[in-house]
Amino acid sequence: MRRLILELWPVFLLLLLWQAWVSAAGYNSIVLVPPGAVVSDLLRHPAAYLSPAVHTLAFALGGLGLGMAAGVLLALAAWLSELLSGIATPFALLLSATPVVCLIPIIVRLFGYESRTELIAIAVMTFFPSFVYCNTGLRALPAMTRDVMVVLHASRWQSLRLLAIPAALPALAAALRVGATFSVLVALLAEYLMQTGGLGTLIAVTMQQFHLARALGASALAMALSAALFEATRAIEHRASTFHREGG
Amino acid sequence: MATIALTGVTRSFLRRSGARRKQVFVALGPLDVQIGDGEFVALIGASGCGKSTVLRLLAGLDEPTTGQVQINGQPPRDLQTQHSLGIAFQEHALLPWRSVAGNLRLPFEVAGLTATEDRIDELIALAGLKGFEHVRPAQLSGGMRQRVAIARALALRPKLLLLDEPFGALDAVTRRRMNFELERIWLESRPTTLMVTHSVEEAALLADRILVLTERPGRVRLDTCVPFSRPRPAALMRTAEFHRLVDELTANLEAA
Amino acid sequence: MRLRGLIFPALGCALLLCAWEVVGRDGMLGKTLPALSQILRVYEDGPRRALLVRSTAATLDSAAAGYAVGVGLGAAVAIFAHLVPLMRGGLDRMAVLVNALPVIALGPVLIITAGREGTPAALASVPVFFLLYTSTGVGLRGASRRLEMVLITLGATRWQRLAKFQAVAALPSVLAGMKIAASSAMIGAVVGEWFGAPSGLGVVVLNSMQNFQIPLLWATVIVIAAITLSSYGLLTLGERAARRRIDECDG
Repeated sequence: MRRLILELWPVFLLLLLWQAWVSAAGYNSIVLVPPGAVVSDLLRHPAAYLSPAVHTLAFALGGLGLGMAAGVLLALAAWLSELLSGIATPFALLLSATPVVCLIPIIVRLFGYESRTELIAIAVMTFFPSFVYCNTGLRALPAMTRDVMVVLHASRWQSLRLLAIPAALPALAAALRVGATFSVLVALLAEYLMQTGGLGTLIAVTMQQFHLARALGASALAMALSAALFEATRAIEHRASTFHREGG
Repeated sequence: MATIALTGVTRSFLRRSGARRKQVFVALGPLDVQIGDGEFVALIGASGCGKSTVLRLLAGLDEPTTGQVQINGQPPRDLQTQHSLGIAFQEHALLPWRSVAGNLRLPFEVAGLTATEDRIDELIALAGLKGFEHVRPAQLSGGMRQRVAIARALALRPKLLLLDEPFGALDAVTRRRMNFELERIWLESRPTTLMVTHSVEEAALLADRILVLTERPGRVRLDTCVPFSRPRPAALMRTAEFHRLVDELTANLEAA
Repeated sequence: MRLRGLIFPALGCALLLCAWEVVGRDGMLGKTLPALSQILRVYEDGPRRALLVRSTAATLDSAAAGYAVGVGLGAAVAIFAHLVPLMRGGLDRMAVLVNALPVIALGPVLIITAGREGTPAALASVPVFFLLYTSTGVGLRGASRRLEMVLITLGATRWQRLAKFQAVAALPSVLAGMKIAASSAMIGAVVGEWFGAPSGLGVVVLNSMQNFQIPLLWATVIVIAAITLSSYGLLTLGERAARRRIDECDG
């Protein structure tokens, strides 16, 4: 109980301030609603939230899977080919430093206002961190192990399979963590812009209608989704690095 | 087993000197060394004299700029292909995600051979790590990890064993103990061995023959035999003969 | 070897730009991928250039405001957490969760609190806050324990240790955080404008996307990318200079 308070006190504080502000300012319900109103809307109309939430989650995970797979494959290819590595790595680093989120409108325009565009956008966005992390991970080999493999006369494939890939697993897990939150963010943005369903659309629509309690409810749900994915992937990442070093 | 011949070997690099110019920087040589079958040779010398370079040339990890490196009349790369080389570095270079047994199996997997349970048990016993088969390197001490690294180097019964300061990262007490362990392990199969070390005492204790290299570019300054019979007891280190040898070598090292 | 490191990317770049021009002119990928030359013409066109300049000023304004607030607040809270370790657990947790929040979910909240005009700056400040909080915390904690112990034995007070040693030792990490935060601030400001801001690069992006003005869309995105990259580059130089002077030489 004590630990819970120590860890989560800022959240409680925020909720308290929120309630206090609404009460004190006496706002009209189209300007701000108290936390109680949001909670009651969530509890009384779960159906309105459920299908958009599932939509967002499904697309986020689907896009994440595609983007991660693409990133891993390209990183493997770059490991095997010096030429590819030389061209791809600086590009990927450059692109990951730019605000890729702003590429979303371009992707939307390229592929049209459809659901599949959302999937493509998520895949493209999660591809970059996946590639960069995996690329680094494949090269972060324990000291002198590369030389040992040469002396043992290992082929490129053997070095990749026996040395580089296992060495890259922690980096892969880190990429998954970064990609997971990114995927939810991109999903919401795409849904907001295209209004093709999901929590992002719900937020856009309810804001236009000044249905604030629902908009905030959708927001809260989106935040919860993101936090849950983050915690899950962080746990995976933690597991991966301890397994790496200490075994089952 | 293996005989080694280094003929007229030099290794030089291009280094930048100043903003534009590149200079030739001779790290090693010219060297002319012959090592016979089953000899345990120690290579000592000041830092930067090129000792590790000699090892890397013999391992096929590097190519000489001039001269020839031959093992049984073949280039080192051929020995790699035959999986006849064993190497252990100062860094244990074990795969952290594999257990001790898993690490010992690595050379077999790479060579496409089956690692029988018996052979792995043999290697584990050789390393003195019975009971630690399923333990990961992270849970072993420094000395234990090095023992695994050396056992791994011997896994495929190599013709040539190369050791690059294998005990350099260990504390003095562990190091002394590991010296005796290494002799015990070596006596099992007596492969031709070249060991690079900073420690004169370690060289005197373990080797049949000691080569002292000059400062860069390293050349052989002294090539001396170690007369003590094997197995060498701990008491050897307290004899006058041993001290005399160590003094002679130290004086040789310090002579500019 | 070094030349090789430059030739491949340069080659790749050149190839990409040529391919872009060709594909654009040919119309292979439809109107959505205009030729590079078409995009460049946007910058030459008077009215559109003026629009971009105005919008850039507006967005930079919001981004800079958000950046300043985020940096100041993030560093301050981190210092507070460092001095009051009891609070640190909760603050760390909160910071991590805030970072994991999709900025868009904060949209409704921010519009209510900051209004449509303040939302870009507010949205920019959130990730900046988190990045600075984390990097300042890491920097303060990373200051060599050994050196700190020497200072304690010399009788330095908590404040003296913070001011003379930890704050300075933390600087490279803080600058690294500031470097990454620059791009987050830009993204935050641009996305914040999608919630109905009156002007800014994000607004131009949204409008050009909805009105099929493709060359303008690309031109705007390139401007955003250029600003982000150059601020990143400038701050990288600053970080490197600081690291050179401050980082310990660990033997």
